[in-house]
Amino acid sequence: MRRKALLRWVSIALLLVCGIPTAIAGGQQSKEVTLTSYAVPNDWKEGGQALYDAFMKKHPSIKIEDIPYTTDSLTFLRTRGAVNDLPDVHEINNDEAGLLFAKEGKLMDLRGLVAAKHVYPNLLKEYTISSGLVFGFTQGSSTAFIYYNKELFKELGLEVPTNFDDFIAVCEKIKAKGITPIGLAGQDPWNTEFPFDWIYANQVAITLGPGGYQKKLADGSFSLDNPEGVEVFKKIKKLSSYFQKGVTSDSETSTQDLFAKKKVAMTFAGSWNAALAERSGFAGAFFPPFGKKGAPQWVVNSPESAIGASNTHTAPEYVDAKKKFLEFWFSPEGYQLMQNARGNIPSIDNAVNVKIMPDIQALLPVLGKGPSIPFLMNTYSTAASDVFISTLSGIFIGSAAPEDAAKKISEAIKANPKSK
Amino acid sequence: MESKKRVLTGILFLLPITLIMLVLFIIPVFQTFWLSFRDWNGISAVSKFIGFDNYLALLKSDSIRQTILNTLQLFALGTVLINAIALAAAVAFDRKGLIHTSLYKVVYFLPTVLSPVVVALIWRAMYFTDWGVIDTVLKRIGLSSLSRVWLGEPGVVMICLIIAYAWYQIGTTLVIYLAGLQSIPVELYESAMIDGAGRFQQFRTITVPLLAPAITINVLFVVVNALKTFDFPFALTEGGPQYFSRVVTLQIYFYAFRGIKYGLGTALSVVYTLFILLLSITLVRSLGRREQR
Repeated sequence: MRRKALLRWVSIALLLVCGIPTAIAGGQQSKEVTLTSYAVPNDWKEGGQALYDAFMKKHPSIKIEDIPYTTDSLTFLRTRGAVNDLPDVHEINNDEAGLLFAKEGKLMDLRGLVAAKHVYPNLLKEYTISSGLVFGFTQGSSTAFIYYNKELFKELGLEVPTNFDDFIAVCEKIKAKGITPIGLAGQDPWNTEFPFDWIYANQVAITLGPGGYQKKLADGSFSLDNPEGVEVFKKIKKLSSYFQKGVTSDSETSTQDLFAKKKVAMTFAGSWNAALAERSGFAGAFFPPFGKKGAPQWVVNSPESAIGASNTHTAPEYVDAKKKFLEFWFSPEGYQLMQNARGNIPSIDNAVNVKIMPDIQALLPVLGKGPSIPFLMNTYSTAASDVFISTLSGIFIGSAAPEDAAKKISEAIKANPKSK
Repeated sequence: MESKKRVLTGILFLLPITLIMLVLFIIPVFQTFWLSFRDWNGISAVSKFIGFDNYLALLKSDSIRQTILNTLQLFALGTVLINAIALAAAVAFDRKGLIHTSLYKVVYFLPTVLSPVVVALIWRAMYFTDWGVIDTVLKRIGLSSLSRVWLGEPGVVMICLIIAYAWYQIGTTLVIYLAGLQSIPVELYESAMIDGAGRFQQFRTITVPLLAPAITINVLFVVVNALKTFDFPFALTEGGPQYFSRVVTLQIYFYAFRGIKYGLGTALSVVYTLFILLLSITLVRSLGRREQR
């Protein structure tokens, strides 16, 4: 009996001894907040880490835990959002899923933050829903460029083309030298749509006038199943004959790699990837010149993906930490860390020490003032976008005819309107 | 009293697993079926009842036809390829006098222990146009005319996927065939040899019939695995180019998670589950009858 009692007391004592450090640690943890962040793609990890480190130095009680990016980040967020487990800070788009998240109350309202006053109003409104809730601060103004090998162009005596016919002529000259004229990241949906968007903007939208495309989409009269729409697909088919082999399997990184290794003379790429192209040391940039000779340049321009905060953790210390992190990210001090790594076009009016390629700097006035349409995928529902992108891939590989593609995409857009 | 106690004890032992099956399997199956009649984006708290619209949408979809064709190719060709190679290898390794058989078994089994995503990425690199392993070897041996855009051509991509998948799946199938072969009495082969039967005759009249249970297990195992595989085709091709390597499991994922049409995705998964069930029952019955013969 005595032995049993002794054993009992020893066990209790041991449990207490083990429990005390845990309790102390728990107490310490309650003062420290750890935010999960799914906001820095793998290409810009250095810039992202610099941002995290600078923020954590300023706010020692807030830790940022980076979640590595997946190749399908949108699906990752949609899946997590569906089970109310969005990371605390994350990238968000103003697509159907992003708008739904905002309307369903899964995203924090950012309109009270100081940073909201500095994001350009036309970009801020793209991440504002009808109730006035601001659900994200866009990281930049996005467009697409054609980055070209300046050395090769000089060697071949080529001028930067200014219309579609001249562009094709340049591609022919490059191809004749045994070099692949254009690289395109056909595995990435945004890159896949670049050629289409720019041809559509400069061949069809231009005839509808400023706001014409958006009006047709809004009143349901938009269609590609007409001679003008089919002509766009025919031009895409022509252009795709100059793409690299295996275009539909190449990612943004592998395509940029092809350009850097001089295996392609030019490459389509988003303005958000400008720094990657600039690393080659020989890149210049111009807007895709896909209009008719002498016609004004229309641009394709949308806000980049934004950074938002979820309502997964709503305890006051978490809300405070998230606000502080976003304020820092979109402050002059924090913003330059990512902007310098990416070389993208700023979205805030108080950006300092901005690093942009000189060629892109020269094009900014056109971007800011010229007529434009948004990236078409931004205007379609996710179901219609899936058909749009997969059909375009079919044009690239020759399995889809322009007439069929025009019909199929028009039907998909009509059958799957984007929810407002 | 004693029997009541025993029954109660039995129920109590079964209760935990029953609860787990109920929560993780039975209820989700019914939920899936219920969702297939609704329009739901996976994010909103509410969904709308739309009857059979999701099922009708599947019938009208162009991409579904190609997806079904791809899936049939994967499971039919994949089953034949995996079983043929595994059986041939098992017969070869079972022969007396063959040295280093342990090494061969390890080499064949090694892919099975790797993650399917790792295997898919290895093959993806091998299939890279111009500078992948396959194209490099073809160039070196003067057969660069045979080079293709392996994962980018509609007619070629499924064959490439099936070959890579077969390489990954052969190990387990081989082990089961080897075990089956080693259980066949040697005396049967000795008697057959005395009676003048050649190698092929012995294989046809002794090996194959007595391997019937192993063949049943392997065919079922390979068919079901091929039908439900997702991570492998996703990592290798993501279903591209266009829909030319998209299998049904990927299509369910694209409907539900990319297209945020959960109702449509669950409708397809209901149809697919019924198909796999029907196929499994048919296979078990016909292979079982064959075994009995």
